[in-house]
Amino acid sequence: MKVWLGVIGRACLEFAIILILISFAAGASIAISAPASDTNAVLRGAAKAALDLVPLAGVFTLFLAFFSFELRVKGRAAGWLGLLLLGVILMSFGLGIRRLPLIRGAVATSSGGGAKVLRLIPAATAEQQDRVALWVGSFAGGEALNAVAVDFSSDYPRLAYSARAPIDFSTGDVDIQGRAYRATLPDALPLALVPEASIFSGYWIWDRLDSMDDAPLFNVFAAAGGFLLLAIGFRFLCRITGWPLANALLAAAGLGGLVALDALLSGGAILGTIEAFARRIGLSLPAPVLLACVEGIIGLALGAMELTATSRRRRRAGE
Amino acid sequence: MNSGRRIFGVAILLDIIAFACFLGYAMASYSANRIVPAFALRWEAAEALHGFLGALAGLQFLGLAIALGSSRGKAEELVQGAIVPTVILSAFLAAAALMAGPHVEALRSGVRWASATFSSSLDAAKAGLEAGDLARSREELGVCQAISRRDPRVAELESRLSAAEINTMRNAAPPPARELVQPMDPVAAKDYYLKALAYAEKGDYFSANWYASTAARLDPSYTDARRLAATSWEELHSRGADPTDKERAAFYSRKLEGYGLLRSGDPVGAYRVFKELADAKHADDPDVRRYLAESLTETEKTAFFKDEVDGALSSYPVPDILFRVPPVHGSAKGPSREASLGLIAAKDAAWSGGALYFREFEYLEAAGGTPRALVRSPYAKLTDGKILLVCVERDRPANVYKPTWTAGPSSGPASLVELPLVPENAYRALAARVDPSTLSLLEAWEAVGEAKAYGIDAAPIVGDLLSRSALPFAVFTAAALGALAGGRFRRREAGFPRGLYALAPFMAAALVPVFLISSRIDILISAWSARIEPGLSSLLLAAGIRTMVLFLAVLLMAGARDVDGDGID
Repeated sequence: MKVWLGVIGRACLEFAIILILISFAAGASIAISAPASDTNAVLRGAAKAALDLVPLAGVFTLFLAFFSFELRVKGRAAGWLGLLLLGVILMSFGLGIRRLPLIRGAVATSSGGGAKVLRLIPAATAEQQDRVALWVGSFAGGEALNAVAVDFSSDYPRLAYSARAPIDFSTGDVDIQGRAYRATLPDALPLALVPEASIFSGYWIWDRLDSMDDAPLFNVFAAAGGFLLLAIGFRFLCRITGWPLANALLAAAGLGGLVALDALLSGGAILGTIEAFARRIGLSLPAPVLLACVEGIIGLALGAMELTATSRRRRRAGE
Repeated sequence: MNSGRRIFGVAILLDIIAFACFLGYAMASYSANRIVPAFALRWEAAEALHGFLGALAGLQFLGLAIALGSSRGKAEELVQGAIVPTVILSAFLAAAALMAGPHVEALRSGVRWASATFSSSLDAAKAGLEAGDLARSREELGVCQAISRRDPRVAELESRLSAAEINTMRNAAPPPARELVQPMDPVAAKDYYLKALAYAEKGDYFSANWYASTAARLDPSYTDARRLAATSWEELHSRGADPTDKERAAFYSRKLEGYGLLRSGDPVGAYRVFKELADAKHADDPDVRRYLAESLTETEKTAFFKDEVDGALSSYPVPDILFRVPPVHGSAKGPSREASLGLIAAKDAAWSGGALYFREFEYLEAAGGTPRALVRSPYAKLTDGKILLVCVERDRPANVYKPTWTAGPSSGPASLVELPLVPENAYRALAARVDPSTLSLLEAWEAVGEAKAYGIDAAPIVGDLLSRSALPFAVFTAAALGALAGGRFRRREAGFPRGLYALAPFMAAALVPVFLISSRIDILISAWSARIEPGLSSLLLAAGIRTMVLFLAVLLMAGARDVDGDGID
């Protein structure tokens, strides 16, 4: 029991570390597009990401805990129960925090966009946007001095020069020989750490839970519970081969597979089929609960198969 | 086998297998429509090396993990015994990657560009031929030939184009002969006459005839000059020429015209005449040989040849050129140059044989808000301290590309611009903006400083240096974590069945998503460092962050403990 609780305690610590790391990474990737003067952008982004990414950090922790339970706890059922308890603690913590009025207020306040700031191109440096290069000697009194523009997509000759080019501060353009050229730097884009995630955008477990802030509590916990059972079902990966290193790497890939499977199941076509089937057998449950049921059944089935296979292997080893 | 030898063996074997896989993939994905067949092997090797260097950190992780994960013995002893070989291997691979990287990138970029240029020029040459625009077709085909002369598509188009050109020449009317009209100038006539006398005394009747004839044209009343012209002409004919032979007379007349152009400061025109004579079966004539070489030398001082530009631009041009001519401090020309603004724009530029070539060149020099010089030229060549603006086709010297001055020139001849530019530095700064990964570390470092002087955005080159500086950290960190993972996830049962090695490809595949995300986090570190500390100081900041990560990994590796023999805690 001491070991069992020790593994859960250690996993909770790992969860905190993982959540902090991925929140800062996500916050930094979003805040890279904020103006350089906004020094709190990373912290704000990390705080928001910490709330959103609890399910992801939780599933990371669960996968690490697979190996800890495998190594430290002999009983398979005890290990399974330990994982379930750990998952419930982590998910409840994440969902509970999200629903605190103080946190909800803070999230609503931080989501308001700030005023857009025009960032003029640096003086004495050729700046190219698309195929138009602009060179400005200096900026003074609402004018760009010694401004040279070259539109490389136009016919030769291309060079246009103006000793004093007026700047339109509403658009950030300068006028050189009767044509407007953009004299502002483009907005920096957020640096996506997992751009592939856009494939199932809106269907990932964290996106779904994020959109359920105002949904009934039962539906939210059902969705989280279904995902949790499905995740624990993947425990078989930690002993799928006779080499723990291979198992660890396959489990890392399995983690990606798990969140992708969850997103795929929650996507329009499959969820529609599940709903149609439920209606046919007379079940009138909301879509998140139906999905949770399906995920829970898959997870339990995988867990049962793994328990059976392990018992058989142990019996054979005992013979 | 001890853990050190095992690490070297497994990691190097894995690297060889990975390189073979990348090479196989490059060969399988090669397409002749995308890459010119002449470059196929180079392209495949470069692609394989590019993939291999990109995956080096992941391979290092996997190699170390497999080596230690399949070893026997106490885990902490294995990990601690792995430290020295891991450091040696990582240092060697990181250094090799840093040195080979720019060459691989330069090769890839060059082949890609040359192939794209080849395809577009081939299409343009075909379109030109079909539309009857033979000059354009010839020009575009010249670009193709400069890239891959032996390509069957080029040979086929060459025969079609040659046939079309012969047909066109047959149907064309002969061009009218050019008359040189010179104004009356008795003073110059006397100078010419004296030169003619000097040449006549030396026995150079050819030069004597030309100078005397020119003196007679400049001053028709100058009888001595006419007499000397006649006597030197007779001397020339007495040495083999037949006055009744019209063809010979025409040949002499052309030779004189070429000589005149050369002496009157038009080497391009002289080159054109002597080239025509050489091509018209007079290549053995000693005068033609001598003055062709002389006019060629003179031409190269004030102009350049189109084939030079074609050759350079077909290799690997830098597109979309706009840069400032760096201000000169403390020189004789200093005050005026420093006060004025000089900017160069061009469609593209390429480096070849110590010179920088531009296409669709424009130069603006402004002072006090007024353009002092504005010149445009289809082609330009930058050599030390001057930009040549006149371009000649070597085989068709009649085709001369000349500059057009909208303002100026403020001083000097119209065929060139004297500017304080070092071609190598200018090219390095330009290439650094577009494709910094092709520069060596030293060149890239120098290019950051030069970019500012040339008014070029240094952010791309700093970004590339940030990315390159990440490689050694990534390799060392991956190796440390790999060793740790190998020790942590070792097989607890006795013995290691060899069949388990068959799992290695699956392990590599499973590692791909983790590797991709780690790489992007590394990019994020670079981007943040550049955002917080723009310029070269961002390198220090990024190195600091990466050192912390590496330190953590080493700490974990060195502090690995195997409490109960079940693996590292």
